[in-house]
Parts: sequence; C-alpha cells; structure tokens
Amino acid sequence: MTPLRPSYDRFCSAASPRWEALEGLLDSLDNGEVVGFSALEEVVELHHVALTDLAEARARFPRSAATRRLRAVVIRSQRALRPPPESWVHRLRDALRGWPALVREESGPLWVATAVFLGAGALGAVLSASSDATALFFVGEEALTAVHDGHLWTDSVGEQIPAPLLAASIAANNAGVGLIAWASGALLGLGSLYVLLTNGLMVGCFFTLAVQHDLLDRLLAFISAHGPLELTLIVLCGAAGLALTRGLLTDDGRPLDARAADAGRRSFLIVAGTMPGFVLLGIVEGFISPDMGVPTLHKALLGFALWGVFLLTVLATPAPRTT
Amino acid sequence: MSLLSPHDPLTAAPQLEIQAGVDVLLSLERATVGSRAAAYIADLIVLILVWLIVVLVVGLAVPFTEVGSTLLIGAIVGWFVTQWLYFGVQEAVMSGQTFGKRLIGIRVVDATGQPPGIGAALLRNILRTIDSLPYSYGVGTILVGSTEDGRRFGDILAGTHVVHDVPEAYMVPRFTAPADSSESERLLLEQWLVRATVLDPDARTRLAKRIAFWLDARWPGFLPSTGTADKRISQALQPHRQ
Repeated sequence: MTPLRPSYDRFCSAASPRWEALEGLLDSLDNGEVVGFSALEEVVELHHVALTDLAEARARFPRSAATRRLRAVVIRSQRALRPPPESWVHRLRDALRGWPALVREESGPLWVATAVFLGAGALGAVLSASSDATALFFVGEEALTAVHDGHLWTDSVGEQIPAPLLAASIAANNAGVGLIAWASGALLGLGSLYVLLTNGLMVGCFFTLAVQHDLLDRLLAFISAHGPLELTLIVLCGAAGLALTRGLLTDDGRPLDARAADAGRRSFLIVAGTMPGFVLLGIVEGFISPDMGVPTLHKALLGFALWGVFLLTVLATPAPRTT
Repeated sequence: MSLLSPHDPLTAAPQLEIQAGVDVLLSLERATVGSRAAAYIADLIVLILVWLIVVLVVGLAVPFTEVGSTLLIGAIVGWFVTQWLYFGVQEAVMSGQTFGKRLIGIRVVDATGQPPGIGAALLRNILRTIDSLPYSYGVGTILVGSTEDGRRFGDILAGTHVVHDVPEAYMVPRFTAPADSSESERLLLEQWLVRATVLDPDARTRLAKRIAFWLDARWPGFLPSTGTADKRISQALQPHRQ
C-alpha cells in the first residue's frame, strides 16, 4: 500500500499551505476585520497563485477534491478583489448629465408613443361623444354620474383628502404607472401600447364630457398645473418601453443577450429620470391643483413653466463629452 | 453510468462561465427554479413579518380613529418601497443578495461574476412585474425552468445571472490506496470519500455496494471480509483529512 498518487499528493502538500493562507485572509475580510495594505497585496498575490494552481489542477486532476477546493477559494478571492464600485454621487451625476441626450437618442419611440397617445385621445373624444356607454367604459360610473349632475369628480378631491396624503398617493400611483409602462415593453411593446392607449382614451373622454356638460373651465382649473408635464412623462415612460422593445427586436449583429442588456439599461435610465418629475407633480397635484382659490391662469402658467423647463432640459442640454 | 464517467452529478447543473484569469474560466452553478422560489418565499416572509410588526406597533400606539395623514403617507411610501425597491436595494447593498437569497445560498451576479450595480439590481427587480404575469411568477418560472441559462426577463434585461454562492470547499482527503492502482482508480476512491458524506443514505448504500464489488474483484482481500460495504471501504482506505 502507498499513499494516494505521489504527484497529486505532492501537488497538494506543496500548494495547500498557500490555499489555507488565502482562505484565512478571505475569512478575515468576510468577518469585516480591518486588514492592512500588505495583507491586501498578499491576497492579490495568493489569488494569482491560486489561479495558476487551479489551472494546473484542472488539467492534471480535473475531478479531484483539490480542484473543487481551489475553485471555491478562487471564486471567493475573485469577489473580494473586485474593484470598488464608483461612488453613487458620481454615477448619479453622470446619469443626470447624460439623461437629456439619452431621451433625444430615443426620439423614434418617443414620436411613436406621442402619436399613439394623441391618436387614442382623439379616438376617446370621438367615441365618448357618440355614446354614453363608451364614456362609461372609459371613465367609470361614478365619474359619469357626477358629470351628469354638473360636477367634476375632481371637485371634492381637495376637500375629502388632506393635501399631503393626496400628493403622496398621486406620486406613488403615477410613478407606478410609469414603471409599468416601461416594464411592459418587455412584452413586445404590447404593455406599453396598452398604457398609452388607455391613458389617451381616458383623457380624450374626460375632455369630451367636460365640453358636453359645460365643465371645461373646471377641468382646466384642475389639470392645468400638473397635466402638461404629467402626460408628457407618462408618454415618455411608454416610449422607453417601446425603446426596450426596439432594442430587443432589432438585430444589429450583437447577440440577443448583449442587445437586451443594453436596451434594458438605456430605457431604464430614461424611466428612472422621470421619477423625480412624478414626485414633483404629486406635490403640485396634491397641493395646488385642487385649490380652486388659485386662478386657472396661474395654474396654467405653472403647468407650462414646468413643461417648458422639461422641454428645454431635454432639447438644449448638450450631450456629455466622452473621452 | 460508468463509475468513471466524466459526468459529474455534483456539478451537472447549468453553469455560468466567467473569466477569472488569462485562460482560466470559473464556472458558477446557476440557481434553479426551486432555490430561487425558496429565496423569494423567505423574502416574502420577512416582508410580511416587518409589516405585521409595524402595523402592530402603530396599532397599539395610535387608536384607529386617530390615524392621521402622516401615518397614511408612511403607509403609501412603505407600500411603494415594498413593491418597487425592496429587493433591488437589498441586492445593491448586500453584494447581490437579499435576506432570502442569503438564507438559501444564492446570489445575483453580472456577466463577470461580480455583484450587480444599483441600476441593474433595481432594473431586474422592477421587471418582476412582468415576470410575475399572469400570476404566481408564471412567465419568470417558465423562463428560468425552460431556458438554457435559466434567466427571467429581469435578468436578461439587466444582464444578470442568479448563481449558487461559493461552493463548499472540500478538504482534500488522504487515504491508503492499493499500490498498483491507476490514477483514475485513485481519483474514483477520492471522489467516494468526498461525496459519501453528502449522499442520501439509500444512494450511499447502493453506491458503496457497487464500489465494494469492484474493489473485491480488482484487489481480492483488500477490503475486510465483514461489515457493511460502506464500513469495509472506510476501514480499507483509512481516510484522514489533511
């Protein structure tokens, strides 16, 4: 009887102290112990040695316990030695700087989304003008009954719900709609189109009802402060969903994985950029829009000022320089 | 299946290959539907417990009739965070793990094997909305279970993978082998020693019988003549860990 495989045995005997040293250092790092620069240098050195050992073990003893052990320790050291992530502040700054240019680059899906929304709005207006049944389908019974009684469902919103609560719930709801409009772009764009169509149809229907029942001034008094930018952001989120679809379906020579990840990252950045806007609009819609003491003209000025700042930001901010 | 078959039952699961060094690839075992579902359920349990505690504490401290706007705003913000940010933020700050994933031993990594950034972590989790269609993660389960790389929509669009955490680092066993045994025969015996502890009792007994049968035929008298196959092999090899 002899010990197991002299060559394998020698390999393990010679190299295992290095693996143990590396495992010990990794344990210290995992336990949150403060290690010095020299210890980190040692981890780097031992990691490279362990990589070499792993390559040798795989070639010579592919199914051995030593190979399994080396694989485990190299995975750990590989993770431990990853470069520190860029600071959140820098990444946020870069994302903010690049956002307007990113939106401009996706002008194709943005035009499509705008056309779908406006088309749905026109369709909603025409259909609801033709029959109450259609209007009922789009806006619901409660809102329709209120209109027939000469009220807008928005009239009592400010009286029934405290402004901060209204602002929070509106911001959360709109942000959720925006995220769903984008995410459902993964379903070949059908989800994004659905969100754009339903929102367009509802807006068109609201306007028709308001005109038919002589309530347009009250509708404008409610929506003019937040409406222009809010609808623009919803359309932009739908456009991001369509951009995602386009990225998935357009064969540019890269593997689907790479295309999908790129389209996902770019379109998600667009949607993430709309989130502060939804929070701001939640505040406007919760505090200012329901306040009928504020003249409609002032609200409209605020609404178009917000919209103008947004358009100016998107259209006029230069693309960040790449080095 | 031959005992010396290259098919390795412990590493037969789909693998994610990452570049660890020049010409050195590391393979990370992809997480299956089962382990991912278990992690998700564990996370849900944590979430439900947190909500229950919050509601109980608030309920005891504030009478229902006096619940004001502030608490309701807190509930709305909490709901939003729960729905959209809970998983993503955890994965971003806990190196690709949530509480559930840590419990189950799986992790989200990018294509290089490193934890995802905040953007990818949020992206893959916001897309849970789509993966959970039509209900109970139907789309996600089908994608993870039926595709070669086992990724749901969120993973595909975020460029991420869910893998098992660092594999257990088995110590290298030393043992006494027959003098004229070949390298492949010795490796077979080493694999038995490494894996015998993780096999379920029935499989362990069946495999021990086959190995004992082979050892008796190959080296008559090497194994003691009495005892179970498992014990006979153990007594002959005299394993000790280094």
